[in-house]
Amino acid sequence: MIRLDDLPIRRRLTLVILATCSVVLLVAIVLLAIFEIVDYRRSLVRDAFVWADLIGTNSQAALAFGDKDAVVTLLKALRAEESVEGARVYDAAGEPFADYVGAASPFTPSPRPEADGHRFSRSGLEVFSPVTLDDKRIGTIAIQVDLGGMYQRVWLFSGVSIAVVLVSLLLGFVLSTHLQRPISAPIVALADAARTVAERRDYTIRAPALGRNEIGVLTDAFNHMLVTIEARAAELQRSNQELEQFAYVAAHDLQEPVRMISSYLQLLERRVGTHFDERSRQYFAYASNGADRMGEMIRSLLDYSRIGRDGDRREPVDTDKAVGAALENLHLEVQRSGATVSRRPLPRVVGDETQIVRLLQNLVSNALKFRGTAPPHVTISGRRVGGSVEIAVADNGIGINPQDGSKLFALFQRLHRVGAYPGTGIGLASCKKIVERHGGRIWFEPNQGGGTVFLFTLSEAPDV
Amino acid sequence: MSDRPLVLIVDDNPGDVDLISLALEDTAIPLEVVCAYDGKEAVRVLEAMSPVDRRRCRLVLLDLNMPRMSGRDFLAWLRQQAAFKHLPVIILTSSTLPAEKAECLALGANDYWFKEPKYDLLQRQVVGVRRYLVA
Repeated sequence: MIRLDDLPIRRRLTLVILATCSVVLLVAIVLLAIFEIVDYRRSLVRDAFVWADLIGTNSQAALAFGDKDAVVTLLKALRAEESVEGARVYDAAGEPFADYVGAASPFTPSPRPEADGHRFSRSGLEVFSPVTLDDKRIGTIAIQVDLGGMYQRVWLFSGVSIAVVLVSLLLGFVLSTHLQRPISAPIVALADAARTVAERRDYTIRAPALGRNEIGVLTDAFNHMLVTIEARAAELQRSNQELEQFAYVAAHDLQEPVRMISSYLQLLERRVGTHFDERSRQYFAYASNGADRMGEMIRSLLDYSRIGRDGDRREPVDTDKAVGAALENLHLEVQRSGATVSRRPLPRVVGDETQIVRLLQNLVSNALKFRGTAPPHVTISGRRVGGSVEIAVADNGIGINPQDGSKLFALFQRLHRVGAYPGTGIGLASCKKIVERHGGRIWFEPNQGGGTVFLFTLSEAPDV
Repeated sequence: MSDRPLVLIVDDNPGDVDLISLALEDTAIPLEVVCAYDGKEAVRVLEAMSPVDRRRCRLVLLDLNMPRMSGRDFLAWLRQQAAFKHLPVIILTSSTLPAEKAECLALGANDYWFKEPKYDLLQRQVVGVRRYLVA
């Protein structure tokens, strides 16, 4: 069922115009019809009285002398009027004196004259009119008229009306289809522009300005908004790039002094470590662990800011091969942890193969790292959802508190104290960066039976 | 004097020069270290070498980012000298740009090493000079 609100504006305008036309036409037709019926009845009554008067006047003498034949002859003059069902003349005592029966319909005269005047019944009109001679009433004439003519007229009128309405609607449809265009076209153009902007996220698009009316104002405002958004997006992109550049350069250049500190601390330990007392050894360990951790963090920050630095490739990627490469890179960790890895065949995706391998590698590495007491078991599966592929990496590890969800993907975010699990807290941030650069989404859910499932979406590669 | 092979270390950071020298010393490979603190000085050191020393000189460990004359420029200069055209050069740098590595190898560097972040790793790394020192 199509709702009126869902109709395109062109159709709605046409519909409104046609509905208005129809209502106006119908009201006009109904009024005309009522007028027509009233007028017809009035003239019918007038005619019937004219005939009654005519016959009454001519039959004065015959009625006074009781000449029935003469009256019948006079009544026969009504033959000319097809609608007359019949007529009856009553004498002064109110007894039927003479009858005329028309050809068309059954004549059902009343046995006694009724009050003068006319009355309508369903079948017809009945007129009673006095016959007088020298101001003395000598009888009554009754004429019964069939209303078939009127009904016929009403039918004809209805037929013509329907034809008029149909022709008008057709004409209205054709005209409104053409005439509503100046109103609907700018709105449709505006809607098209808005849709394109939303779909492609291309803020360089502008809606065509047509006219200076309210829609023109709306179009101008829309375009102005796009100009603002475009400028903001460009600014945001520039500032993001600057920030990324800063992070990259900072990380890159910080490596050097940290390397100096780490290396010389190590060297110092070798040369003079034997002279340290217990406390100095401890202090020294703190310093060198700190330097080492700083080095690791800087290196992983550099890795993070390097994602997509050499451009993002967008080509079909054999996801199964990518999983294979990621597991190959991790084979030592898999072996060491005694993990089992189950793989289901995955649909091909579009993206940067190196980044996708790294994404999978980070997730599997986390699954191995955050293990429970049981040997780790990792399951990699995927399914098609719309035009996307949703890939799930499930583990039986220690699980994640849902409350930690929001900070989980942040840079340098660790949920455990230093030393409890190795790592710098950059793996999931990298995953998020990779997935988002691919226009996808990454999230996690608790695994049924313990552990965590990490899920992400990538675009599905078209079939070759 | 001695006939031990000469290794020329070119690096603007004295800390690095010391570190690399120490690491080479710790490998116990018989060699002698000569230092220069930028490309210009390295050119001068090479040009001032006696013919005997030139024959002993077997390897250059070259940093890239240096003031006055960069490692890249020094390498380009070196490959144009008849006497040093075939002198092995190992780039030892903290730059990890893949483009830089490709450029240096194209300029005639024999290897490209990323400076290891800790001393023990560096020590293991510099053992790799051995194969360049055999005459």
